[in-house]
Amino acid sequence: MHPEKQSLTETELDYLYQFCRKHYIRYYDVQVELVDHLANATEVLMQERPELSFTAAVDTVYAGFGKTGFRKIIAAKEEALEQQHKSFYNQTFRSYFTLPRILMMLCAFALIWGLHRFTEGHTILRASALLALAGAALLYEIGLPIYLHYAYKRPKQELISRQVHRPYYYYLTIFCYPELKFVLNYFWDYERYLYLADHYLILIGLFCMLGVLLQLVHLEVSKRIYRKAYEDYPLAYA
Amino acid sequence: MISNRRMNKQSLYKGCLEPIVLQLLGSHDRMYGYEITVKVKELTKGALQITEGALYPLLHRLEGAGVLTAEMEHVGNRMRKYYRLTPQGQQTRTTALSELNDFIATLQLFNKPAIS
Repeated sequence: MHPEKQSLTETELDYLYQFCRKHYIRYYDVQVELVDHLANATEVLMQERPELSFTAAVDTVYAGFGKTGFRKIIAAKEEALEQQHKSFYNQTFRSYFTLPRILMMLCAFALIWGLHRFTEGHTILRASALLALAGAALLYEIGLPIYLHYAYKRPKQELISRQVHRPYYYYLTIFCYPELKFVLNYFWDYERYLYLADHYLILIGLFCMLGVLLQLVHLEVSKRIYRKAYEDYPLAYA
Repeated sequence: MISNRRMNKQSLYKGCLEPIVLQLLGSHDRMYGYEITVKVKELTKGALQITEGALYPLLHRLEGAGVLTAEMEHVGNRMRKYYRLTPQGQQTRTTALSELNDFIATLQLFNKPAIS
């Protein structure tokens, strides 16, 4: 049975939001769905049993969620979002392996290799070029989260979709480590960098490219998640 | 005793929850959580009552797996989350229903008199 007409007032809806928070649902995007469910079921129950007070009706409806109450819902939601985000990353990562993009990556790598050959014998130039390369990759990787922070408005209420996505940023910082080490070592032990072995150069080049590629994927996925959160829950940002 | 019997019946239904939800969403353009619980109760004349504690984790899992897609809409003075099947979900629905029918057919074997 559907409620004939929505009869709950704004104050009663606010009570339902508070009720969710009291039962450890701190995420607004989960609260919204549960509040709608509680509101519909409460309205029907109050039509069937008019003697029930609003709060007693809410408690009766909540009992229908079983012994675990809302807890199971949050755990399942987190798990579902993790799975969804993983599939976003996989899809986006795979989308970078189209022919034009592979060619672009090969050209970038050829450029690094060419730089290495061209600067042979010009030790200072070579070390500086390497430093510029690692520095640029590092700057991009550090700059990206700062850009995301300012480009996308932060919600005033917590959203589970953003919370679950947050650890990806920390995973990606792993790629900054070798580049940071490379740049810092340059200042620390300049002489070592004048006669770099080929394999070392290839390794640094690959690391920089992979780091930048993963950050590009992260940027695209973050935009998708943030945009969807903003479109679906505009009131969380108000 | 009656409540025990009811509980056993509910545990029997538990494994069928996913095909039931997929079938309902397949026969409607889109549905919201509360609507699904009401529809199931109506269709089964109260014999099957989906608990919210089982329905929402299932909906979220199916959404995460790309079987369902969700959209938000303002309805009156509150927000409502609607679910609909994705093209992948249509395929999952067909598979889930055929698996359920196979399962029912297997169970029917126990109902037949033994052939001597």
